[in-house]
Amino acid sequence: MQVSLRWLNEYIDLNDVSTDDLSKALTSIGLEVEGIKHEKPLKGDVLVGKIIAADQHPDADKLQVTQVDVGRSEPLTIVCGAPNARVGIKVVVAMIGSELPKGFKIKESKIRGQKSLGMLCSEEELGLAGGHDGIIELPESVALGTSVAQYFHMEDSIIEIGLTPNRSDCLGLIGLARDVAAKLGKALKVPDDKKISVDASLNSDAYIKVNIESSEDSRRFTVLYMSDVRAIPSPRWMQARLQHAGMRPINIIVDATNYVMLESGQPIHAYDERDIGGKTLNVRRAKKDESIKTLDGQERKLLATDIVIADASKTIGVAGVMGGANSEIKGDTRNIVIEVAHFNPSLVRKTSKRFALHTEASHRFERGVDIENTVWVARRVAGLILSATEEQRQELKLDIPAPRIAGQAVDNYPKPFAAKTIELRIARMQAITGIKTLSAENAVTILEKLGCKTVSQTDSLLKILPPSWRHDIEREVDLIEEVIRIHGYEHIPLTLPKMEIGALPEHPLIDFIDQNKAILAQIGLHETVSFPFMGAQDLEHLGIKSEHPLSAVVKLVNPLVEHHRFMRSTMLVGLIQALAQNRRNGLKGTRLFELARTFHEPKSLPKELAPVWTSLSKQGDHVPVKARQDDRPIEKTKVAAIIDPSFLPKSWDRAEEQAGFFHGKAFITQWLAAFGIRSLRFETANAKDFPWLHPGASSTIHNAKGEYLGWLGELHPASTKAYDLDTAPTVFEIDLEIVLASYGEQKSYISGNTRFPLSTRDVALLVPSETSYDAFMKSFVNFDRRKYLKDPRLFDIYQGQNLPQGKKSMAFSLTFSSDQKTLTDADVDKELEALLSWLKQDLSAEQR
Amino acid sequence: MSQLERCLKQIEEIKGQFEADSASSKAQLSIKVVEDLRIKYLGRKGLVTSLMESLKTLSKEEKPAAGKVINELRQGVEAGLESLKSEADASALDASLSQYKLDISLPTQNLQGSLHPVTLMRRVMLTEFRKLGFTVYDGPEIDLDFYNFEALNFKEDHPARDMQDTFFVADRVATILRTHTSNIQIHAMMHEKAPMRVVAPGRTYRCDSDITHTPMFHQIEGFVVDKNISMGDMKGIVDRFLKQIFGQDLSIRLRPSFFPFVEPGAEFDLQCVKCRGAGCRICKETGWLEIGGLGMIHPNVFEKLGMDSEEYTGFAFGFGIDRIAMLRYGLADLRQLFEGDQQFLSQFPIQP
Repeated sequence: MQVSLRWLNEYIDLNDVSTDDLSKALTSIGLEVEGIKHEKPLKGDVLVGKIIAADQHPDADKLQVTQVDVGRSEPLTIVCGAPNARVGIKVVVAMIGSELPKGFKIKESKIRGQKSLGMLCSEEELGLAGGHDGIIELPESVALGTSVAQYFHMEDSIIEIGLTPNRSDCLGLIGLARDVAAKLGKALKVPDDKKISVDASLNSDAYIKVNIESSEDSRRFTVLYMSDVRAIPSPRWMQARLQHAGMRPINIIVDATNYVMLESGQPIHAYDERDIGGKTLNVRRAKKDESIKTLDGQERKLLATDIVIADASKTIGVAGVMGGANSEIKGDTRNIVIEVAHFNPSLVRKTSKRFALHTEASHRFERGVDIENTVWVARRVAGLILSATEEQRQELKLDIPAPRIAGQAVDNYPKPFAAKTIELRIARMQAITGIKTLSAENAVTILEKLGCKTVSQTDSLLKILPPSWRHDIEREVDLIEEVIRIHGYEHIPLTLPKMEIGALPEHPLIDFIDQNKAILAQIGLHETVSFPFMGAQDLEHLGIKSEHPLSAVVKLVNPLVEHHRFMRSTMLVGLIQALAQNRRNGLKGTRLFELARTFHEPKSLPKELAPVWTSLSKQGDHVPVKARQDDRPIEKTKVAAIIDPSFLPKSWDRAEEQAGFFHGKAFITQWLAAFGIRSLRFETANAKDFPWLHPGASSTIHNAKGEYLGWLGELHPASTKAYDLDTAPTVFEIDLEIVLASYGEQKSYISGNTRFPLSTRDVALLVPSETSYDAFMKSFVNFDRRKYLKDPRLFDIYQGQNLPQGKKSMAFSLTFSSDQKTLTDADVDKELEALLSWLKQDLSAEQR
Repeated sequence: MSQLERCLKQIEEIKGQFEADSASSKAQLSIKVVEDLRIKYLGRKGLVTSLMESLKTLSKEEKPAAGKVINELRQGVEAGLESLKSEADASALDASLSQYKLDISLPTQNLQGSLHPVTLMRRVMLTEFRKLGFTVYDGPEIDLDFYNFEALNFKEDHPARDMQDTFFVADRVATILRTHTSNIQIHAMMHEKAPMRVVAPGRTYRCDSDITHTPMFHQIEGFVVDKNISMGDMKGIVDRFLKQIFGQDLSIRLRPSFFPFVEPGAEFDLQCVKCRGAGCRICKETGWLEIGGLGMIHPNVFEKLGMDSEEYTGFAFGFGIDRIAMLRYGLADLRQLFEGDQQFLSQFPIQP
């Protein structure tokens, strides 16, 4: 909210308070000052002058050479092109060296050969509203040499306040001034409506009737009739204040309603009396198929949740949001009806949201207006129109009658406001604030300044009636806040809670997350954090069809961009995007991981889930047990990584290294080994489950019990192409909750005799090409005469020259040991021989 | 000259010769030179060995005396050779050391990773809060309106809901992306019994995107519930925590503000970590940085969860981790935190 300091000064005397101190005071009571703007649109001398001579420019038809008296010794010669420039009028003179809005500097110049020592200004050039053709003509009464900035009230300090939605009372300057007055110990000055001269013979109810369909929709509806008004421009001071508050001046009637709204926080609407058919205003819900053209020229369809104002035959306004075009104030408007009402905040909000029509009025109605103040407001508007019209009549020498204000308003107020008494226990106030010295006396002083009434008072208990404009004061703690807010938060002491030392149990996943991140970073991956959104195109790029479980995405109603419409069901997307960005930056060797959540819509999951996807229907562990009973989307905690094929560049001590599937496998095994999870099984992935992975270079990962942890592979060529990547990265994604469960399992460790020496034998075995390493490992496990064999390590794979077609050679280094004795060569040879014959039988392996 | 005298003279000569040989060998000492000397004196036909032959020519009475002197000679030669040998070994080692000289300035290629600055900051924060006896709590990022708004005293259709631009989930009733970590207050209070000291870091979402806002960001929420908790305790905990992170010399200040789930509510500022309160560009010359919001837990929140708001009081606070991380690590661009730029990310450590 923009607050003019000059205007605020009308309600509280701030002449002895610096802008800086005022700003600090505002912020300290919760009216946060977000900025201060010093309005000084004119720099240098811009003065009132009078044209005393005007001659045709010798070389230009449309220009005149004028002599202008600004009250100094010599008149100035100024060339002017305005058609209304003529001898005898008072004008605005921008002197040499002055500066107009938008940085327009006035310099001595020659116009078509004629010297010009300044400029005669139009309204537009001064940044004023209501610009006419030609230069400004000022009333004769203004003295020569007067500062134009002063005359037009152009200079001001504008304070921008970030108002919290609970403080509707501060949406009017009087409310704001009341808070400041309470803080600074000053008096609040509210304009007196008793001084307004009304015409007792004029009765509002002779011209207008009001019907309220439901007092839930409108608890009060006040109208005041006014005759003989003229839609002339409002005085400059009023225009300046409206402009400084960010509003556009229109005419004296509309301006007065806006002015009083900014002053009181209560929106006001003025109708042209002629447009109210049947002299009746009905406050009712919109009927089926009803529509209205609002003041902004938009045709709007109405619903039964909209409150409207209608006359006997038609709708003339959307209550609390915007008036109708069919009843607005016009140039020839003579008699008006001023409406000041209360509307149901929640309904106004619904309507305003639906129309995306957030107006000054709806903003205030949604937050709540002061229902007790409507009559004052109506009279204030009328009084202001009356006095401003008189001011303008004199200033502009207009021949117009004085407007007349009805003596009585029509005030429909079926259930008057009754404040509820709130008890404030002083001991409670002290306990909550921690300030033991805060007394009943302190509290009463503060609360009364804020408009509360004290019903009764003892040292330990106050009974308080909150004011009608403070909808946010509902219970004791709200009063406590008011007291401490004005008393000052700086008086709250610094203490520490005195509590039992026992902490609550913590879910193990929380610390486990940090442990995993540290290990993943230690083995060489860089942590990234990405937005967990994706779009339909990502599912397409990854080959995820509608029957695939990962297509069961959580969708957003209002994404910022279309490609963020879904919550990610796989972490891949953010990683691929990061890789692409890094490649565009010319960086090689991207290796990123992210530990975060994926999201799944259980309702869209297929009924039958392949074993690798069954965990998607189980809610993540971080969702507390009670909340799991809610119907809600599934969240899973995952670790995912992406490894660029360009892994390590060539260096003085080694050749360039390319990364692929096995780099991913190494990262996974190294990472999980840190948690003692060593017996991982990598199994060939079913291509149907992982359409984004290369079918020949992908696997699922399982723990010792065979439980599925996640997947690993090189990105499918089609996905690689879809994401515009030249080469396929290696990617993996693992469910951290299953890792945690595997970590928690009891493991057995060797603690026997390990002091007997190891013996090693190397053997090369010729096997059919399709024999996998895993087949060997299984065969070693199943070797029934195994006694000393410990640790077979594959050290070479060879296929090609010198080998029979369809065969390959796999060479193992076999380690033998015993915890009972030192093995002899004979012991080892005997077992090796048995092993070779077993491998021959099991895998058709021949020793080379 | 008797046989004995001749023998003794010969011993003297050999002794002198060995001393001379030893001295001259030092000029070009090597293992080989020492070995040659050994053969010359102690070899099978060596000078000392052959003396033993001449011993045979002596009489029975002379033999012991001569034998003793020869033995002394032999021991002397052996000791001399031994010391020459160690000298030769030492110089051979010196020679070999000077043969091997690395350019220790050559680089290595390490596979070292890094942690995200927000992770680092989060760990620092959790460490400090755990020291103060807090338990870390977690909860869902996609949550029901009830936990994110309703139970936190955000009334239906109230403009307070506009304070947080909310992402809504399609095809579901009142389901949203949590707009703050305050939902954890409700999850924890439904789950645990007072007294409680809880912090909850996590990802939060608002549909807002500009230079200082990202649609996903990180917050940390903390709250304390017990009997007799005051605003002083609230101020004390936040003050203690921020001092641990940013330095004991910085003060905090509270400004009244409004969040529906606290009353009285406030925002808290920390003296600028850059200029220490003097005023600079970072703090827009105010000397203060806005850190977050806090307040006494609203009795409506306790009552909604069936807790006794007379018996229990408490406070809650929350603030953005991203911004604190940026302040702590001197980062200028919020958006860079979420772009996955490895050149940016890889400069961070693993230990905060």
